[in-house]
Amino acid sequence: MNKQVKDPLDKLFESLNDVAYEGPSTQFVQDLESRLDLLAKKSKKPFVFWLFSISATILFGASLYALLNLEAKQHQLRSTAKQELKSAKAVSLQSSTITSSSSKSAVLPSLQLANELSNKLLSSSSKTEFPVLLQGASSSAFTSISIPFSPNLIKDNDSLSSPLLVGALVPQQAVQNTVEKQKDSVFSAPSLPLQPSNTKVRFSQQIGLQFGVSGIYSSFDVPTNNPLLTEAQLKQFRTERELGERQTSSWDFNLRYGLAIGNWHLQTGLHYFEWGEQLQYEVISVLGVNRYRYVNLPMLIGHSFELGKVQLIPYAGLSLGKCISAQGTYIQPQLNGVNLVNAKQLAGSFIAQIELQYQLNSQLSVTCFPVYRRTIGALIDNGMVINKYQSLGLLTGFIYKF
Amino acid sequence: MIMSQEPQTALLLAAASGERRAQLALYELCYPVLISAARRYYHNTDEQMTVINNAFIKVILNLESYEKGRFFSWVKRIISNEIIDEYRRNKRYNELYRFDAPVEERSTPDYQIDQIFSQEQLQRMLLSLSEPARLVFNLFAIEGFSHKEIAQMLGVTEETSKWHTKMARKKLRELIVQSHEQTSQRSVG
Repeated sequence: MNKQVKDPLDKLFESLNDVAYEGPSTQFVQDLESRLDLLAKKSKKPFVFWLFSISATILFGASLYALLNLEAKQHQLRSTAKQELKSAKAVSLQSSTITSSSSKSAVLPSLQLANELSNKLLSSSSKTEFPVLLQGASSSAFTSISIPFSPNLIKDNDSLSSPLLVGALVPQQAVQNTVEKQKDSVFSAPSLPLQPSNTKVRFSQQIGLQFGVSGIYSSFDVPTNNPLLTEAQLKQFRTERELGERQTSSWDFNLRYGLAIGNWHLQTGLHYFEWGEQLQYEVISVLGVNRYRYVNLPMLIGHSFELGKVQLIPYAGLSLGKCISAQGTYIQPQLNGVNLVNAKQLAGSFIAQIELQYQLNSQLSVTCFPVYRRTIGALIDNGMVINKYQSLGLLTGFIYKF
Repeated sequence: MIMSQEPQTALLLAAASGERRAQLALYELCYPVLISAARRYYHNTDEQMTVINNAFIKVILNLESYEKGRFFSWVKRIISNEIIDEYRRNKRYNELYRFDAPVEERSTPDYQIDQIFSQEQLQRMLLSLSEPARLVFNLFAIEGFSHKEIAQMLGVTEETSKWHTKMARKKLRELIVQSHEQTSQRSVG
């Protein structure tokens, strides 16, 4: 600090440094309160954060349970199948002596067992072991060949109603030829969807839960003329807004219901997302985030393209949103304070998304998709603040088909 | 009157944690310090309000880093910095460099300085200075910063700071003389 000898004039003005007690006016307090509100809003964890966390936990738990349950069932089916195969082997070995000594084609004594086993294999797994009876000159051997199962195997040759019968009914050379032929055809065939294809129009319903994050980009208009403001003031207002407002992000949360008719998909549900921007006006030192929260009712239409277990479904449509948090703050056109605004209570948006669905099993799919949204018209329009928004996000979640 | 009493620690803690009532109570306590500084720099109420509330938000945001001591001196420092920042933000910075003519210091007879001026009169004189001169004079003569410190704060040379102080003194002396002459005329009349 200044330790020099003071000029008498400086001493005279030094008295202005003295402080007299006085209270702030209402205008000052109101302005401060609006700034403190912004500050509090910025530091508070949004409601959607908790909603997202709880839902994500429940969803994760449910999915884990479903997957483990499914795994246990498959394991049980596999072990049952193995046991039954062992019994079938024993039966085949017993009958092999009959096969080698008698005529070239003999019927297995346990046809019923073989049929049952075949049916189980059909329903339980896409890849299974087919026991093939290989008859040698000196001895009979029973080997297993691992072949991915395809319904085509059955379709191609109606007489071979059970894979077991391949080994049981046909002599050695014929068996080997058939097996080789079928192996080739199976291995070279493209993998098929889990659900058998059929010519009828498929009709299914689905419910799902998705969550993710979007980046929000705002754009604003400043009126070209205003009786209360000069052109220079409007220009300055635009500049300060351009410098002071930046994009922000939003948590997205979708609860959806879908209807699939053939390859066409209709989707509705409840979508939660936000519009808004970050503020940092240098001129008035205001910091904060404007968030306009909406719960939306979407209507989307899409068309699916099947790529094995993956489905690609581009969707497009509209949504109508009900605002649950409408208040925002912007710099005043005079650049000396903040201006409170309200977003529209009902707002329309355009939505486009390209959805990738991967089938975990016939009912459960995991999905991931980029989504683009755009407000229809201005979300805020009070004459001076005219804002439109766009967002680009990535969502992920699960779909249950029934 | 200088505010010597420190605010209670409980009040500071509550204000720092975001309790609105505590924040407003602290605002009431700080307001005299803040407004006294703002009035020396700004004519209009809106400008005063902006700078005071900006400074107070900074007080709230930095309360956790405040170490017990001279609270109101700390608040004064914050508002001084805010005023400097505000000056920079409003792009008046270049005006600090607009000086060329050497300033001739004219001594003012003591009887004129001894004349009693009210705070309002002094404030009016101060506010009639050009913005850079007012800023530098406030920092040097009233707040007690050295030219070296002012030069660092404003990003100018010490010479520039001295030049603006001299300019301010020159103008203030003129105003004092003017005021003295008006008073004399009134008493003669």
